[in-house]
Amino acid sequence: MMLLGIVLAPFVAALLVPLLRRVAGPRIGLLLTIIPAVLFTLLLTLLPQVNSGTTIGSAWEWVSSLGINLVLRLDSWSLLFALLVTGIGTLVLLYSHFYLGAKEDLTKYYLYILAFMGSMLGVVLAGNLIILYLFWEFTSFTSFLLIGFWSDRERSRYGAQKALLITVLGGFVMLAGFALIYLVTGSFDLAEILARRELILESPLLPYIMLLVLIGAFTKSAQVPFHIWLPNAMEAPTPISAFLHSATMVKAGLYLVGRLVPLFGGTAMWFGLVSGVGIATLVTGSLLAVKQDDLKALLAYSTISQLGLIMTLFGLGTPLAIAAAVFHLFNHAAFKGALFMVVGIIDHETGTRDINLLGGLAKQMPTTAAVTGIAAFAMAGLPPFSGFVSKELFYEATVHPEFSGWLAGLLPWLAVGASIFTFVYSMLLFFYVFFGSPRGQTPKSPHEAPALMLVGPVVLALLTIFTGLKPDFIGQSLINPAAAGILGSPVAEHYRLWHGVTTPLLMSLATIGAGTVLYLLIEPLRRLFKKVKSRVNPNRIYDWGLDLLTNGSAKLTDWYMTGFLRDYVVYIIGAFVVFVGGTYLLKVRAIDAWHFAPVNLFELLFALLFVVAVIVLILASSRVIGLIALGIVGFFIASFWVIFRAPDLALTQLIVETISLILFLLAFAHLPSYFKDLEARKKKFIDAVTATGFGVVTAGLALTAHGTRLYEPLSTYYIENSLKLGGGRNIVNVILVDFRGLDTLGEITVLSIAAMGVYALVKLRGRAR
Amino acid sequence: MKLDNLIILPVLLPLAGAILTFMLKGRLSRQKLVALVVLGLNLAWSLLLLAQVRSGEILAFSAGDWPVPFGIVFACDIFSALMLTVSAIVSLAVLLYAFHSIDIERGKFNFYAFFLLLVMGVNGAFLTGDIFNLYVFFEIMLISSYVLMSLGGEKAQLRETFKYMVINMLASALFLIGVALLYAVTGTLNMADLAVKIRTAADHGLLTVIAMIFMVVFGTKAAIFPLYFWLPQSYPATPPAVNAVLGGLLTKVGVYCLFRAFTLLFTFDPGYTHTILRFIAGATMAAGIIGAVGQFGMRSLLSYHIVSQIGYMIMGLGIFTPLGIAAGIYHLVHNMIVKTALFLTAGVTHDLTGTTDLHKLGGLLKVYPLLGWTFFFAGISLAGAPPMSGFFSKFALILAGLDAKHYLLVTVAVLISLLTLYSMMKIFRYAFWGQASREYPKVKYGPALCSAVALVAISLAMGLGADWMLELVMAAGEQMMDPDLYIRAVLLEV
Amino acid sequence: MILIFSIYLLLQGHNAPGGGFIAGLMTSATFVLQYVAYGIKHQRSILPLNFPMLIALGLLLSLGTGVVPMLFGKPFLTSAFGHLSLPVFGESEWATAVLFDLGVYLVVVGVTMTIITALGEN
Repeated sequence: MMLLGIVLAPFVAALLVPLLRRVAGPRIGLLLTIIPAVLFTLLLTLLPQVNSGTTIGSAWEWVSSLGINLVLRLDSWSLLFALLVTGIGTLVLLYSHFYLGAKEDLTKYYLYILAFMGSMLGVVLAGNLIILYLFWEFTSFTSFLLIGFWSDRERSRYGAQKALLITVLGGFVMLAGFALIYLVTGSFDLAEILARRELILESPLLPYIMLLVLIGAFTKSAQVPFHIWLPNAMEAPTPISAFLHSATMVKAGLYLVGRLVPLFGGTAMWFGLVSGVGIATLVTGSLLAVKQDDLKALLAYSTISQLGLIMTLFGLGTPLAIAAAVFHLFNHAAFKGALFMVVGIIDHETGTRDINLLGGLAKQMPTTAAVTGIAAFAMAGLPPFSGFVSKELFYEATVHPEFSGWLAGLLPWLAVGASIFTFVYSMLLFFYVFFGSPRGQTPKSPHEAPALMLVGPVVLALLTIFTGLKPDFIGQSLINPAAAGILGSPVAEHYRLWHGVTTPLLMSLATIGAGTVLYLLIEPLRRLFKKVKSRVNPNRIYDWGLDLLTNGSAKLTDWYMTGFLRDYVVYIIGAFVVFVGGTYLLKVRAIDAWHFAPVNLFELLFALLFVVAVIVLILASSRVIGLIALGIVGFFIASFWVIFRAPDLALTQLIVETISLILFLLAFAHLPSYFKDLEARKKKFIDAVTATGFGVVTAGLALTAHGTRLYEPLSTYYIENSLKLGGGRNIVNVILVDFRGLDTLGEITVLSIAAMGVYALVKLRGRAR
Repeated sequence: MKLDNLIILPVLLPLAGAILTFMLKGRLSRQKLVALVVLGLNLAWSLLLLAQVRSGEILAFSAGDWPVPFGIVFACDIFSALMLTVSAIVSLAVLLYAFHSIDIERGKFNFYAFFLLLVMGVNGAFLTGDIFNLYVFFEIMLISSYVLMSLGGEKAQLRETFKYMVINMLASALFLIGVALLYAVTGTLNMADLAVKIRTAADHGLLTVIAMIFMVVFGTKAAIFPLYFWLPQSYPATPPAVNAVLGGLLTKVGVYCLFRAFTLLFTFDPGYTHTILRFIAGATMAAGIIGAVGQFGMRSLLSYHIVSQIGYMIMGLGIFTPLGIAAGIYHLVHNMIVKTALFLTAGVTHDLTGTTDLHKLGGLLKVYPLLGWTFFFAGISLAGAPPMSGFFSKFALILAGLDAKHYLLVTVAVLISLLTLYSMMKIFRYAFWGQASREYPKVKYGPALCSAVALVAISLAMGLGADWMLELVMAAGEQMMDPDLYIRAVLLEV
Repeated sequence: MILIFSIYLLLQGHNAPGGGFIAGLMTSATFVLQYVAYGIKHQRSILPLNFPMLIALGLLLSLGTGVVPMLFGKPFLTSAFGHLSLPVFGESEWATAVLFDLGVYLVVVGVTMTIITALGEN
């Protein structure tokens, strides 16, 4: 019950936002900060209990016929995330109050952000894969709305759409993976699935399941090649970037991968996919970050890179690697959250985020500078900050993989290589922006931010220092339990800032040394990087694909949707010929053609004349001739009825023909001139082929049907019983009004509608004139 | 009074209402009242029928009390009752919108009578157990739709109606050919009787061919690949209220018939017929969405979506397992509700701004927030986002597909879902986000929108109450996969 | 003349060739001939009928014939027939189906005439 309350509280608050906005006015942000703060405190009180290995859970039935039940579970891995979401959420809400002016649409902003918070808590507390998926999609949609918050900017709309498309694609693919898991194990419940992991591991579907689910995680966590949405997502207000696109939502993929470690971990495919993609992302992100001009873009690529690092660790799967992953995830949330907030402050106070305009800000903004320095050093992996500890663990994990092969061998080298560039862009962020002299004129003259706005970044910076100095405290109280939650068995790592001269330390030294050298060459380095432009990159593929989709499909559609009725008739007849005729050729054996009723000369003559009339009709060059020919066809049909002894039908046919002729004459004057456009020869040919095909198929069918009468028809009964039961001797009429009276009622309804319709059409048009 | 005899009420009520409306000659407020009362009763009655047949009982009676199979039989199983109920909801919703949207002139020329007759035709098609009678109800439905489409007589409207009419008449002619052939071979028109005779027939060759004729005929009505081309241009040319009812109801009758025909009648060679259906399902999804993404008119975009979504329903039919059929029906029901809601929001947009051209719209969310959000939730429901109904229907389809190992089809279905979302967000992005291109009138539009809001709420309810829905459609699916139940109910118990 | 013949057709429809449908068409043909011969105004004056209303009446009659048995617990459209002695015509048959057919007749006349006059007036 409590867990449900935790998930629902932000949603309820979100629904109350419009009301609260009226009560609290522009201070609504401050008021709402209470919600995550309370949740954070509540979760903190659960820490001892959960860390001792208890899982708090509750379940409600929902769609039990498909195994979808509202199962919520809180173990130490979930708890770490829940704490991150509510903790950083508190700071972000507080920060937002100062970041957003009173003129902005605050109602919408806080509504979205609270809905997001609830969704994110839902993702990490879900114990059922479908519930996880549900909240997962919620985060995608709230993220979409938040990125598009300033929806009158084209860049915002572009970014929002891109983020949505990519993450939802991943979501759908992941859902297919979940469905396969269900088919293999018969359950969506995570605990039950883990208990039946052998079923999955032995299933031939294993590679597909793993791939599908991982694509979901990769898109959400911006892994190569799906990373392209994250830089464009930076169009969101900066607190959103700090919250969703660095600290929490993008880590949902990591959360899921962590959850799946006990299921898939240890298999070679898992290592290859997760670590392979992770390391590629790490390298790509850090290389691309260096050349960015926009501070938020730099942070976005840096986030991508750091997410890749954590992903790599999950792929390695050893207890040490998992502990390192969790630790780095925690550190990253803190220092990256702080960095986003300071970048927001810089943007807010100077009016720009362009690195080429900034410089020497340390004088005007000392606190901001200090926070940036601490966070950037942590990101670079410098002691005594938190990042150093987790970076060392990362190095150690890459040096001792459980797997062999080229990827395992390459890992430490790639890790160091990428970290060198991480070092470079971290230094860029601090020294380039805050020291030296201003490089250009900023739109506003810089000054320090209000004290309360600095609370968030300062708290996070202090956390970074504290973690760096007392790693084992954080390690024992948060990291080890969370890692144990992932692995399902206790983890007993010890964390120290200094652990003697080891391979990881040497790797760190190499990173710092090479990084310093490169930073001294920063200007030429950035110029060089900017020159390298790949023709084939995922961004271009995305844009090209969407363009192709929109324009290409429009062209394709215009090509066959001609708007000409005759084309449509050709399509329909063509489809008939293909489907029906094709089936006929495939399925029907030769027809027994010579068992038909004898044809007398009279009938033959009529048939011939009939054909002549039809030919005249086809060749008619004016409407009058066409009409007359059509009339003749009609009268011939009537004569057929006479021949086959159906006077009622003959009479009806005759009168209908007469009346329709009159109608035609009445309408004649209003019709456009006949055959305005002469058709191309090719089209005529196609028309002829379809028409002939249709004729052949129907004739064949009629003949075959005649030859295969399998059962006694109903009419026998009608003939026998019309007098007895219907009280009439005229079979046709008894059928009409008695046996099938309902049909007749229907048909007169049709007639009535037609008449009233024509009446309305003509009169209404008349009035309009 | 025996309940069986009363299953025809959903046909008789609208007919009586329409006659009354004709007789009220232009007294508009009374005509509206009649329509409202009739459709209200229709909904109540449909719900009652649904409650009655839920347990698995199949109600049936023979018109004129003639012995089966000689008279015309009406039968109501879960599928029929469900379709009746949903179409009752949809038609009532559209009617409420039409009160605000249809101009007085159209109203005076018996718009509401034609509307009721359309409902009559649809309901009759859902209930009849006789294939020729089905043809008759099709005619009623179609001819009402011609009139509704052309009423008012604007040029584009007439041009498109004419094409629509010719195509449908052609399809009707083919329908008759099919019925005639079927009668020639089996000597019967009663569907239960047909089912028995087709199943026990010595030679299935010709019957397969006839099955294909019906696939083409019903497929044209249902707008499946490659027979859907008449739809996307004709629907947007009609008045918004008509557009909504056509989009929500009409094509779905074709789908209903395909389901009926290929679960009751033509089940002797699923390896052939249902494989074709699965192919058609995938192609329909793709063709519809390819048409949709290139459009910049809100209504034409939505019209292509009708086609695309039909593909999903046929997918369920093509999978041909109880879960597949159930999922297909779920999707059908969901889609009728949501599609109508979408067309209604498009209609309100049209009424408010005078256009649905995405290039000319923008920033509507700020001026008309309720409209924007109604569209948003309807849109994500269509795309299949939880917890809306669209998620569960698509998910059930995916499960059924994977279970039956149709991996390729599932892949197509998943990708098309993404494109569906893309095109919905395209509308949202262009019409509701962005900058307003001009001042929009600040008017009260709540009453006109209320039925769309209600439909979206129903979609949400069908998602949150997915367990209940699934139970219902599974019961329907299992009932339909065992045609003996239907056959026995009709042949023995009437 | 045609008019009378058509009514004959209607009534005898149950037993010999004829019936509401054809009778209706015949009757309309009569009116049409008249219309062609004398023009619309003349026709209005000798036939002050509201054709659309005729349709509604006919439909109502046919529908009513079907609904009545439902009140007696029989299925829709159950028909009854029997013999009946009338003072002038003597012994004759009756069937509720004739009422139904009369509805059909009215509808057919109404329909044809509505369409033709509507088109003709424009």
